[in-house]
Amino acid sequence: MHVPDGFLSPQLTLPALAAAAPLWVYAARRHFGRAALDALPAIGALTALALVVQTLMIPLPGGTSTHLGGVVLLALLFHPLVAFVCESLVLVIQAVALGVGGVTVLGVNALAMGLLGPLAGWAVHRLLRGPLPRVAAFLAGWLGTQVSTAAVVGALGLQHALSPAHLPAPLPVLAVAMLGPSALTGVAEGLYTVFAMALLRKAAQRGLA
Amino acid sequence: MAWPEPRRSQALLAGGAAAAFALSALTDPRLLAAAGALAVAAFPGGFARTARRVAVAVLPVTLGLALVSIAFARAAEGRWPDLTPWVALVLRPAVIAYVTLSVVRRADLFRALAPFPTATRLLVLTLGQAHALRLLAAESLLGLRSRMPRRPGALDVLRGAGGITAALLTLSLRNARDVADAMRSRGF
Amino acid sequence: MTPILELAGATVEVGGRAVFQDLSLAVAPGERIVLLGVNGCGKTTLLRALDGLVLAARGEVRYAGTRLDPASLDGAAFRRRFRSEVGLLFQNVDAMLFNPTVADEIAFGPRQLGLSDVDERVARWAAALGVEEFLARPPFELSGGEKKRVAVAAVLAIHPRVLLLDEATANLDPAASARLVDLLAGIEGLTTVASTHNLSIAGELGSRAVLMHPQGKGVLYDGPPEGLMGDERLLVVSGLAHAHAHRHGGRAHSHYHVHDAE
Repeated sequence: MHVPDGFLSPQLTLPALAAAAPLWVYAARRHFGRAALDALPAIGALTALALVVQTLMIPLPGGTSTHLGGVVLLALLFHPLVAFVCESLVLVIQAVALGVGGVTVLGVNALAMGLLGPLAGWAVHRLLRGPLPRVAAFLAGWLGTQVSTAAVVGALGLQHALSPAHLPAPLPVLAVAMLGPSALTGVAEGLYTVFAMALLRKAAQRGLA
Repeated sequence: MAWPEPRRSQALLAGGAAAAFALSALTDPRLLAAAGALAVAAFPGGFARTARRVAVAVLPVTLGLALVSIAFARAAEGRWPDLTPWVALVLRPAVIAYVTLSVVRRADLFRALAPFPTATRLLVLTLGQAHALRLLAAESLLGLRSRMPRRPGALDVLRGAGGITAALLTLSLRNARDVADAMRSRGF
Repeated sequence: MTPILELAGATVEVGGRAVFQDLSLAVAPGERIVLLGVNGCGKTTLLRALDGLVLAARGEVRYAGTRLDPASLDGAAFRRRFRSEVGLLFQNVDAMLFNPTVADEIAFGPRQLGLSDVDERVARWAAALGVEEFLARPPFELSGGEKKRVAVAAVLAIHPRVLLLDEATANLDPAASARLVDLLAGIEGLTTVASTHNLSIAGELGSRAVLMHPQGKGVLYDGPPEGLMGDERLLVVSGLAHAHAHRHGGRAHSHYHVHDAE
């Protein structure tokens, strides 16, 4: 779940950007190579994939619907830092090209949804993929979603602690309001990750990247 | 303001970002309301369309959160809480969204990035790929409906999404290799 | 006899724009129709309308006498019958393939219908399309032509009454194309509507040619393919023939002609 613009003050959003920026440079260099010729098309390809996966609408029982993230899958297939670069670029494109907003909270969203969530999913997958590959894939998707949301809740909670005038919602309300729904949408992400990994795992082992 | 490109779009985008950050620091509802009025005055064209889009995207979240929290505080403390920060929380994201949406509508992103060839190339590659992939993704939903004897449910769509991701990934990576080869053959 | 497929003054819009207008066509069971027209004339949309994926804004599209509209397609019984009796082969077969292996892909339709002879069908149709060697592999790894053959096997495995084919022979080399045409011709009782913009294979795809107006404004010709080949005026009006400078044995000149297969 993304933080919208206006929920966090510059007190938090600017340091988050400052923290994310060097990480972007490092991750891009490390995982896409120094040669722009090969790096740019690869980043573009995976970012485009994430952009399109995020437009897929999943109908949920009960009449609502949700969208997929696809970021954890990128972390599992390639590397968490690859997911970080691509999701960050997705956020930038959504903000400046698609008019969805999120330019002030770019750093926070990038760190929460692009780094912490996928990292948690990747870690649990590494642990369980030997004995229980399908469970590992599901948990990666589900836990990744939960950790992303928890990171966002944490940022919002911190904002509330620093300045209730800014964000009057107390932590318990934020936690329930966000982690509750994300526990459900995380199921969709988990299942999606299982299905996609079932097809792609072999391809990844053969070095698709 | 008839500045030439790329200055015009760059100024719009930079100004919009700066305004968004500045607005995100405001907590006084009166200042926010004044800022909102300024924003509408600065970007009058397409007010209805922009306002509607902002309302649909932002208000459900802020109003919902406000109502739930206020009810929670009322129940926990036995009295109505001070509503000022809540009014600010409903206004602030709406005003920022109005500004950023208005700026994006009026700025020419590619012109603004023209002096930065790497960024331009990356954006073109990504958006071009996304366009091609999106067509396939839309068609895959039709493919699912065509092949299933009943209406596709959540599980079916997820399975289809997993399947189409494999095709999208293969396609996009093959395109990436082709693009890199094409760039090489053209002398980059 | 009730036509198995029918359009009655149908207009279909996509994105607010009419793709084809006021189209009427009746297909009898067992007929083999080749749908001709230039790119953009509405062939794909027409096939999708016959598959109930897009609905007519005006007029009607009917399957076996039942009108295709939200009411009929929402009904579980009709929907099940319709989806099991009509199959559409998409031009972009990637849109149709989403199962982990080729075997699963071919088995998908029969499994959805709860049939008991799934394994036999998979074996039979994989053999018929020459894709047995790929049964354990994921479809997305295959080449364009191989994917197309998997998609055809997957659609035929449910034993449909009607097969709609959107540019079926694109991506297939002449030999594979001929094998596909022979295979379809050999399935008794099957009704097919196959679209193409390639005149040279029209005669193989069907015994009745339906030529669409370039902007979808109705049908320009409906009859034997041979009748269309000699009609230069019609070929030009429909956009299937054109004049440009070319050489015959050293002499450059220009006259109307049609290009052979891509």
